[in-house]
Amino acid sequence: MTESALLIFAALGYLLASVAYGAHLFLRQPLLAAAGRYATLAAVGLHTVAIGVHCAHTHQTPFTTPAESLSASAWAIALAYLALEMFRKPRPTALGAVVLPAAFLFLFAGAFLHPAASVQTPTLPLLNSNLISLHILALLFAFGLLVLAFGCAALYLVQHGMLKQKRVHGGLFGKLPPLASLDQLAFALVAFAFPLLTVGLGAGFVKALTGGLRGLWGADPMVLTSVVTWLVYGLYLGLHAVAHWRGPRANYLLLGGLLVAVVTYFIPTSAHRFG
Amino acid sequence: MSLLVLGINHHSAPIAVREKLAILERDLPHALAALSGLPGVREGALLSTCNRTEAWAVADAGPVEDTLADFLAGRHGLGRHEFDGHLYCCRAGAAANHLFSVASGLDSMILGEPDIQRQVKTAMEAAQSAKTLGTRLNRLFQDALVTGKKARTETGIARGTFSVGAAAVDLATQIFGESLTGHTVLVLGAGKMSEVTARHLQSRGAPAVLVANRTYEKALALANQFGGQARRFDDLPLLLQSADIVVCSTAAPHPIITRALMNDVMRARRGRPLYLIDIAVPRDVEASVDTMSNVFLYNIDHLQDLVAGARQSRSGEVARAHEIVESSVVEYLRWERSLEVAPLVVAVRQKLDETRQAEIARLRSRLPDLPEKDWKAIESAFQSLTNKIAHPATVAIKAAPETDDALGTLETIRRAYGVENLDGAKNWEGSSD
Repeated sequence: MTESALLIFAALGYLLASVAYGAHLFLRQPLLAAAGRYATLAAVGLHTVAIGVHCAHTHQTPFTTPAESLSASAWAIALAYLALEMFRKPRPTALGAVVLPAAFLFLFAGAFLHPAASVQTPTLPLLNSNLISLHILALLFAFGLLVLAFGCAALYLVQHGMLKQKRVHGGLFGKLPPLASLDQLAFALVAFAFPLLTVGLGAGFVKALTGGLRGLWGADPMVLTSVVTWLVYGLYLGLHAVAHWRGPRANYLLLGGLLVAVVTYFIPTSAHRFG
Repeated sequence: MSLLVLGINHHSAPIAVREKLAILERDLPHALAALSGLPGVREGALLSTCNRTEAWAVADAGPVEDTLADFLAGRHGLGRHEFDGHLYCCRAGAAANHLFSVASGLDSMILGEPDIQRQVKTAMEAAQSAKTLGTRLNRLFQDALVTGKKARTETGIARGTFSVGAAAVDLATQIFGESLTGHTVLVLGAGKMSEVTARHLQSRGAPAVLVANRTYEKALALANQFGGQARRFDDLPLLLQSADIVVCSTAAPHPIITRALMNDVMRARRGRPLYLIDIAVPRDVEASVDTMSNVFLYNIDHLQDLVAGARQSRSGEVARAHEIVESSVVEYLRWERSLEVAPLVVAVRQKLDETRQAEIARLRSRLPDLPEKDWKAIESAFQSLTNKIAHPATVAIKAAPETDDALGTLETIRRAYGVENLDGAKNWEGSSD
């Protein structure tokens, strides 16, 4: 099976999982949640193979072009969710209804919106570096966890809104996790993601400073938004832990943090271009 | 043989009649032994709760209802006239439908309540211990438990709230989680509803219930009723800082929890959510408190609205639960029919095996010098042939109950294979559902 076919099937798997988890949210049928879980598992498996085929074909890491980065991000989101499903009880199936569509959209965007960008160009020798690998992998997994935290924040705000506005009939009322669980999970996800984010950005800065690229990075928009992303999540952790920020304002901060992170993906950059 | 149930429940009889027929759990072994000793009764079980007493039996054809009614009356030295008009009786498929509905909580006073599942299981286990549960009733009760679980899991009949107290708890779990462990409850004032609400919250794991009243002795009296702790009403600001769930039910003519007070409280709470249940009329909490961040305020109207909505939405869930019950009844009856034709399957197989063995013996006498390994091959071939001849007959026998002329089909197969008349095949009556 070709890499394109594998990616198409992976995308279909994420879509199927999204539908299954979404239906489970309303219908509460255990079979739907199980279907979502197995669809996610299959999709991640196919996606992993697709990435492996890509690497074997190109002999380079799959993060040099925007299309590749988006695909890898989709993979990281789905993988992070699967890990959460395996280790957290009760299973956060409501979160699946939010983050699996995100995985699908990222893969879709990568595969169909940047077809020209999937054409391989030789990577610069300076990118053949352990620091660069650390930079990319740490940021990739941090991003996956931050998308999950975004999902928790979104669900929190919906649940909070229903409870505050007394929308107690039908719809999602009574079907979302409790506020306390969502708040706790979001904090834990960011607490895991932030060190990865720090390490990832730090590795990038060290490489930039020591790799003969001084002077190109200082005012690069992508670098600046990356720093803003780091500051937003650092602020969230600090305010949550020290100032006991809870409730909507803390969750709006999480939404804003991911928005900045996504902007980082698409912002025009001159210095952070290698392919 | 047929399945039947005879009994009374909260629909058919008032408590004054039900309590006369109730059978205590400790008396079940003796009662079951008496039930299974009744003429015509092959299997027996008894289900007795505060809302129903039912005698279950698999019995020979005939008017067993009177026998069972006399049994129930005799246990308590009652005359039949004392409860005859309150009895109901179901047979076959209707009986199965009844038990599956009961186990699912569809026949309960509180729709979907889970206790009945445990009570059905207790009845089954008592009959198993007393060895009065045979193949049919064992399968019936097992299927009832599975159906009950399925109905509660796949529909919303066990979800939702039916009282103000339960509605308050439901909302608390949506804020703090399924278990309220670690969340202190504060009851302000006194009154039955606040006591009931506090008990509901305690049942979900709330560890500490503080009670405050302008009259300390009243707070103490209420606190003692459910193991809570009394507090001075003057300490209200401090109490609001430590409690996460506050049940307000004072007789104050004006709000006692104001916006100004709550500003200080929430600052001290450092953003921890606070859930206020205001069931007082006039209200104890200023309406403007509802707009504060991390404060969830529900008054009596909100809670009653929640209860009304839950009752309305359950009707659709009830229909779905009945579908699950009906599907289980169809499966049970299908199994029961296959049971009744099993003797014919065995007889056909036996007949073919006897013929096979006779032919092999005859062949052996005619070919005594054939090596043993050749006989093994011949016997294997005969076995295979027997299996192939038996297979279509077995399939046809098992499918016969689903056909229009089941009796004719079974009789034809019986004659075709030269099987003598059997009770199972001859007396098969078909479904009386």
